[in-house]
Amino acid sequence: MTRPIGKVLVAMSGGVDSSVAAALLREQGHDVVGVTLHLWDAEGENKVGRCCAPEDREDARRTCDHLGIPHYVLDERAAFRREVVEPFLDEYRRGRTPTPCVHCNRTVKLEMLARLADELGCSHVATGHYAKIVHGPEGTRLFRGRDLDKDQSYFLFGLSPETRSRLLFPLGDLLKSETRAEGERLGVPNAKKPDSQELCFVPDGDVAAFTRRERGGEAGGLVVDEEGRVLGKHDEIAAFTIGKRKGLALGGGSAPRYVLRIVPDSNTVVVGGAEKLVSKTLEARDGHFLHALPPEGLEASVRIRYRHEPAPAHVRPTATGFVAEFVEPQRAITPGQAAVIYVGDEVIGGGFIA
Amino acid sequence: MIYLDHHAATPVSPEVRAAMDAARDRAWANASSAHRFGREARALLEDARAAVAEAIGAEPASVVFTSTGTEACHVGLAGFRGLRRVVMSPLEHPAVAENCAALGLPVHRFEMTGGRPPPAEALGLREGDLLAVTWVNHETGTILPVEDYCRAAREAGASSFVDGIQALGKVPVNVRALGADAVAFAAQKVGGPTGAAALFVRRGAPHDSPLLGGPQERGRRPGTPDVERFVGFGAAAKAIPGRLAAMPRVAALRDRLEAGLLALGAEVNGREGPRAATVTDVSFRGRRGPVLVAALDLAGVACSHGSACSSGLDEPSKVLLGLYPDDPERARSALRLSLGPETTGDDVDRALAAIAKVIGAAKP
Repeated sequence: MTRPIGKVLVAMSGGVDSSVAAALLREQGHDVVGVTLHLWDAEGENKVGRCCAPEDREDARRTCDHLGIPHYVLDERAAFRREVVEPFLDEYRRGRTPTPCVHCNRTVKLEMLARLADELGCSHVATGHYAKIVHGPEGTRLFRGRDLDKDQSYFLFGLSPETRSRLLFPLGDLLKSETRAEGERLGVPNAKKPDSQELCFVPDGDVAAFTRRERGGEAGGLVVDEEGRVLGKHDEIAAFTIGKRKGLALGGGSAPRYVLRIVPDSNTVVVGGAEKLVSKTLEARDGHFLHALPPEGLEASVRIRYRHEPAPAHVRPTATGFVAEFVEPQRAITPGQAAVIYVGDEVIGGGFIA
Repeated sequence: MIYLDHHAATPVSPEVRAAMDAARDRAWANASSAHRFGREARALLEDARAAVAEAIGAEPASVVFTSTGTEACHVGLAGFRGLRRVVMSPLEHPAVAENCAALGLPVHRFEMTGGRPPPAEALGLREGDLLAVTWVNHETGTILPVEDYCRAAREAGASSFVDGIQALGKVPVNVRALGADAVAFAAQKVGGPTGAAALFVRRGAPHDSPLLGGPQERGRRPGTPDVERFVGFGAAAKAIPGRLAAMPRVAALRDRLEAGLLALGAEVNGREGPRAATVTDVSFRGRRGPVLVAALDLAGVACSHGSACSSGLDEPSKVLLGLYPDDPERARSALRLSLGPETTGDDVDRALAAIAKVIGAAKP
């Protein structure tokens, strides 16, 4: 069922994308309400973060003033910490590399906004995501955004059908450059604001330092090769992800070595040559599907991290997720990251790499 | 749009607006200047001071104009000499609580579980204490027996500060009868403009202003005063008897509103003790105050969750935690609806209809 568009709740981050999304909906004549979720307090004096800093909430407010729409800030810091940040820290301590934006959209941002929409009498929830959503009689379909460089469909596979059915992505057919041009045309106050970085609560990208700050230091451990030979020491496993080469400090002039595995029980980082980093098989758990996988499987493409071009694979369902057999070996299949199945530009489903 | 947030700010009344308009051509000058322009501005300022003094039962020389209620609290609380301890209620506004905390003294908060104020002798006041209490609470309207408390403070050799910001215009105020050393007031709660407030300091109180600068306001609040706003405060002060006379009618409207809210399943906060007539603070368990405020704004009712100052943060109301320490859910799900002399029965009925609709909307 396609629902008629009534009042639209727009999630305003204070950035240019959500501002233009709101401005476009307004221009199309929709009744728009702006909501900013306050998810996190940026650390310290130098708030380099582009997300959830007080000035971002202020920018969102000013944009809504400019558009002549109401704006509310709602405090979801507790939920964000509980549902996103703590599991993120847990995953790193388990030697995995989580994809927090998937969890955030699923448990905090979009799901919460959908419930909020009910309370505020809004039929739809719009965001500045670069992805396409198509509401049809047989349900809601999700596609990559036209701007393949900015495409955020990877983060959206986990939403419930109910939430999906009320989403609008006004930027799905725009390139980022066009969004900025639209912002200028519509007089959006922050059209020239720089892009936000990918992980809003770790603005400097230093996950190891963030983990230390939040959970205290952890014991260092050993760096070993696949035969168990000790090659060096490391300070904390949270500093490592699969495929990483930098920061191993192994010395010696041998061939480059990469992180192959992280073993949290023994606090060990296993390294090896580039040839050991590739694999043709992936198992994903905690699957969410927009279209059920046929029992015999499906020829599709699978994206194994945000910055990864979906690679052809045969995908077959399992009890909790799916297994992907890639046509070509893939580098650094990383436990904890989301694996998302596409057919063409359409998102079929996804799960988390085991 | 129905305005039920009079505890945040009252609409500027027509007579206040007229007085400010009439003064504008003369109020721009620096009231400390010796020339004619300065003298005229100064005359407006002193007329306003006399009106405010009259409204609170003080001599004009005891009234210090400040720009905000928080500033009045700061000057009042930070200025006492020879303190050893602060005694305050658990219901204090941040303007009082934070300025007390900044004194660097031990702070004793007395208990008020269930909303009933303790008797004065239970406060345990002693020499060197500073009693800091709010007369009428900004969220629940809870009235503290400040006269008894200030008497107990005097008898114990303690100093006393009363936040009278929400009391003015709601309960009869006479600072002489109250017997406090310092009392704060603000124009925006009595039909005056924002940006105009006052601090009463009892003559002879052990008090020096913490603010440094020129000799304005007898040195207690240095800086050039915004004469036009204080003219507005003066005009509002003259209208206070009218506001007080309207309170029985406001109380009846509040009770009607409250009855409707109770029928919708609300719990009324602070109902166990004495309250001002202008407010009902209610909790809708399972809902979240800030979301209800947004939904009601969209539905045409202006109100707040806790004090307007804390809006946007989902921290449970400290006032309600003070009244109901074991019930944070109650504090998180609160709505404050506050009325004024302008509120009509029609406003109340339409607000109730809108609230019923919002409360009936899909739950989170």
